[in-house]
Amino acid sequence: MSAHDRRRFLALAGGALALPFAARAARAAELLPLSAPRVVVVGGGFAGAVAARALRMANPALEVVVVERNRSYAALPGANWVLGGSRRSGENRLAYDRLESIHGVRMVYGEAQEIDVDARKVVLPAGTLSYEHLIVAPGISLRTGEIEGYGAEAQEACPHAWTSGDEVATLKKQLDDMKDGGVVLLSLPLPPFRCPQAAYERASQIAFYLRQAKPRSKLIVLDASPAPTQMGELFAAGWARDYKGLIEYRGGQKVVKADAQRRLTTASETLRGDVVNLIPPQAAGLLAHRAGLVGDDKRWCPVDYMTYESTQVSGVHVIGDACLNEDMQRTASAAHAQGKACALNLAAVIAGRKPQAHMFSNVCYSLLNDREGASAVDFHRGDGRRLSKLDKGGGLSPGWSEIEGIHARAWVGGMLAEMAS
Amino acid sequence: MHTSHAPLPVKFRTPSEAQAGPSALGRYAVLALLALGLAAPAAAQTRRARNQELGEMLAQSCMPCHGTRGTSNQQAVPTIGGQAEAYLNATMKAYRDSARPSTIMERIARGYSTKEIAAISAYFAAQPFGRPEQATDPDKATRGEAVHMRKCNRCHLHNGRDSNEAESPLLAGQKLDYLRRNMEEVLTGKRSVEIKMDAALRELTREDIDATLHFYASQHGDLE
Repeated sequence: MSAHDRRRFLALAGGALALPFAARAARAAELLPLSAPRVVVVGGGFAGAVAARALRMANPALEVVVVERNRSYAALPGANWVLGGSRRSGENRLAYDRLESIHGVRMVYGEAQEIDVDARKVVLPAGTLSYEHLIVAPGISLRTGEIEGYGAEAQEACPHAWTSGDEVATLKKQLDDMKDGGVVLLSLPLPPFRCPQAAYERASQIAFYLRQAKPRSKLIVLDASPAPTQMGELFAAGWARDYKGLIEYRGGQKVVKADAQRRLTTASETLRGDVVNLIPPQAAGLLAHRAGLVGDDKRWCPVDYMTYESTQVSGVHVIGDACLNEDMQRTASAAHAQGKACALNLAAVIAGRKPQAHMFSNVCYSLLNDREGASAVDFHRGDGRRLSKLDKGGGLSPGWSEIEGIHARAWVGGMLAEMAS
Repeated sequence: MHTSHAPLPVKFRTPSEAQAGPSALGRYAVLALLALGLAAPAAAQTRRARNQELGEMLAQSCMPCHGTRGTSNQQAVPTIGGQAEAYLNATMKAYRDSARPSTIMERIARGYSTKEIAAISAYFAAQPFGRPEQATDPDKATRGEAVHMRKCNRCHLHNGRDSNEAESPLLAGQKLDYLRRNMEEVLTGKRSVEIKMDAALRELTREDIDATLHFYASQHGDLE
């Protein structure tokens, strides 16, 4: 990491992480002395948890350790339905106990602060963790600095609710507390960001709630893109049918300024909301920046799209939303596929076999209201240098339907089970 | 001494059916031969191993909905792990060719080549058919067992734990909601079935049919 990068990163991290890592690493005690071939997975989100579980299933002789800062996981897929009222927030929470008791994964709770690649150690506040193979699933960080005034106070007033289901519950409370006749603002950044389709689903779910509970209210969507980028026609048709006069969609409205009075400013206007959900532009998670895993764009992590080994730092694998994926959405489905491919190929390499290309379907379900769902499918192939979107199969639902609403709920349930059942 | 002739779940198997080979017995035989290294020359073995790895990798995309190794934990979604290989193969092709109605499966099946469909089918067929307990009506299940013995057991062999041809899926332990939704498609003419199935259904009442689904769904745990 160059001095410039480090300054930039420290600015990103708010300075709180300016600790003398290398000195600490040398002194810190080993948390779990190596006794078997060990893979350490940093990050227990979709990609990381799926990879850890798949590794143990592929090769029970491997010791797999997951480093995760939270004791339980509040998933984002399905969390929007909490806003609409058709899902309890607790339904999106899962603990890691089954990963330990059924699959023999070892959980270490704590924040991975640095990776010492030469010593093959992950540095935590409590000590170091040695590894033979390392998988990093750092998720996303928020480029809040690119929105003027979006400091701690403004972030509290205008939550993003884009990194955990718990934050969605907080946003839900703000909607509950709002008076009827209020204005809700929802701001979307330019792609790439975590699952754009979910942002349009969020608009649908907020509108569904308002229509039931606060029908004189209004939702204004300020989208930095000129038009919805995912399932655009389906959302437009659904909004026109269910939320006419309730959702006001304004494309090409990139928010450049925000404040604690819940005002958002774009190039052409300043609006004040009673509830404001501001989703900022994004980049790979902070650990990826700290460990020098981000590429020339300074945002995302380039990898070999077969083994998911970083092209920046050899011996470190990166999976999930943090990866550089030019034409693929950052979805739970893609994170799952990457976690599986990385795990199966790593298990193959450890067993002396060759890694193989992986083709996968990226599946993304949304609910328009409390009943009707729709899905988008596309196929990708990762074969080393390239991750290509395939020109076969896939496509969108012909419309919103109850059966796909049922499938959407099944998909979330099954996805959570693939992480930690 | 009097001998009872109560119907038993006997496996009938003609040579041609045995050749179709989707049964557990057939699979074990193939696995046993493989283990002994007698099944094929080295090149074919390598090819088979590569196909297994391909199937395993491709199959991962199915698991968020169909469950880990194909055992579903969702009522709306069928278990495909341990399902008959020929049935899986035929079903994916039916989805791909729009011969079977679907929501998402048509869009998914069209993403795969015939070879990839074969590899995925082989992978799931080789997994165990997980049968976690489901909520079913015991009275209906009892009635359904009698209907099964009378009308269904020639194709859905061994209480629905086995099958004898590509059109006959394993049914024991399948998800009840999935079975009902599919049967509704069959009964309303949205999904076509082969003539034997059609003939059997014509002789059954809606109550009989619903009861057989409870019978299949009620079978759980390790049945072998």
